[in-house]
Amino acid sequence: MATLNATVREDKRNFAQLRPIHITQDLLQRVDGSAEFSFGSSSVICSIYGPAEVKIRDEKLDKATIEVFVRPVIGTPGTKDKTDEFNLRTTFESVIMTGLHPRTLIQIVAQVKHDDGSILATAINATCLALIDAGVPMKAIITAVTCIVTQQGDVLVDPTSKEAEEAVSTHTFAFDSLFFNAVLCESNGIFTEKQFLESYVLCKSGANQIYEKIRESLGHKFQIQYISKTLHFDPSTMTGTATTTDIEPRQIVDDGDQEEDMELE
Amino acid sequence: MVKELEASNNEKSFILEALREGIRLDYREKHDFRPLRFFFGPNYGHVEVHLGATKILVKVSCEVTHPYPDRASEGILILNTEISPMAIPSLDIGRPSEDEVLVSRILERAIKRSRAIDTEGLCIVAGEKVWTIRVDIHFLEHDGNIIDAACIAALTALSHFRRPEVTLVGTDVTIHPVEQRNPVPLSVHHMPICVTFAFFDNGEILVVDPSLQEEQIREGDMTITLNDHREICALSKAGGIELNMDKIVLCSKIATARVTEIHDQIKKALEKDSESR
Repeated sequence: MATLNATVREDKRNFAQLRPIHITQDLLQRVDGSAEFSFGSSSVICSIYGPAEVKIRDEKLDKATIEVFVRPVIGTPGTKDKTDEFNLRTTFESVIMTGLHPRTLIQIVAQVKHDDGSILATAINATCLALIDAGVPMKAIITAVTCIVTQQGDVLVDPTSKEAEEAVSTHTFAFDSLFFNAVLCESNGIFTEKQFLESYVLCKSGANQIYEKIRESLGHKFQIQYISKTLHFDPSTMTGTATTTDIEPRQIVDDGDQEEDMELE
Repeated sequence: MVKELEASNNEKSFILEALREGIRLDYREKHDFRPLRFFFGPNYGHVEVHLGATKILVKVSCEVTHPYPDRASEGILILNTEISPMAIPSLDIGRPSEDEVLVSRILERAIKRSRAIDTEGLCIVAGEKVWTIRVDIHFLEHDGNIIDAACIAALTALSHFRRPEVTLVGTDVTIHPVEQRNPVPLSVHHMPICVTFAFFDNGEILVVDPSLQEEQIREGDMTITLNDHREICALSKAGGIELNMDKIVLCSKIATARVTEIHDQIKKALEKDSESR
């Protein structure tokens, strides 16, 4: 059984600890929504285009078609990327309110920027943030975490690619933000029921942390948008940097109206 | 799939009028590039280049493979320039667009055919084992002039890249992991950099590094590939308006100046990165 607080991982994390999360939204101008999500050095950039015109053969009369492309950082998309595409599509088909946009296309492109393990989970989180940025209506926010079971039977959350190579089994879970129920469960390898349940619990608490981070990041984003609106700021000059989580809105307001600034406090 | 929106007549005449007065929409001079920014990734050979709003991500990787039978003592350089719908949402997947073919041709000529990378130095055992260097160019955002941006990004990444060291004892090949021995850089013979021009008003007006809007309304274009020794490596002018000889000479002079500047910027960015590592 794993001792949860042991610092035996190579990067000095404990077993249940995620790598540092970094979120950036609204990076690209031409698409309708974009976001980058990273767990440490694993990072995925995702773009959303839609609801847009759909090809007739893909058209669905009662709902929007969701098209997903996952592009690896090295080489052309292979079987693994197709599996990731399938997982992303089925996950987001369950939360995007596709019925609101019948006969349209929502195109999701997830480009891996740096692969250091947990790519499916990173891609799901990036996609969710990009969908929020694009303003696509969703029933809930989806957050995902990957964990592995090692040869010793320990469960490690958010593995690096080196850790994942030596894993006996790999589990990726995605949870919705409403009830924190699993919407995706992708497991590979040989594992016991106990290990599976332990993975589930650890991933769930990880997903909760990511959800809090996303909320925090969106809070910053909307606060900045609110300030820019009330002070007649041109938000286009601040895109990209303004929505990064670690920038405080106060730094941007320098010569603005003091009263309105106070109201926000 | 949705067709790309063309520039409206009003937009067209506005941009043209402004150009006739010598003004570009982003306040640049006609012969200026947009600001270049370099972001290096955690590993060698991982570079993101921003040319204005155009964003290119390049990842260089290597593996040991068999050489081509007709070139037994040469390593292999592969360029992958697949454009994803992230950059051009109207892209038809699975069928390479005209743009994509043009980009890959020009880059192939600029980097492979001009022998920018010493492929013979990538040979380990002639006829058996060579390094294959793979350059994956990802277009994240297309705001005009993806050719120049991709070329700059690819060359920066190739100069930044380090491959694991190899020792040869008899016929035994040992590849030393990066942790054990310092990886070695590729030998870059020269740095061919593309400079793209757009022409308006029957070639009367020419601008360097066209933005997307300028690309949409241009009458002709030309890409000159020059290296840091002021030599022309390739020149591509596929259709568009006819140009007289003087214009081409003028363009190559402008391009020489730009290439020197860009080369300095790449060098500075690489030095800054190697200091911080």
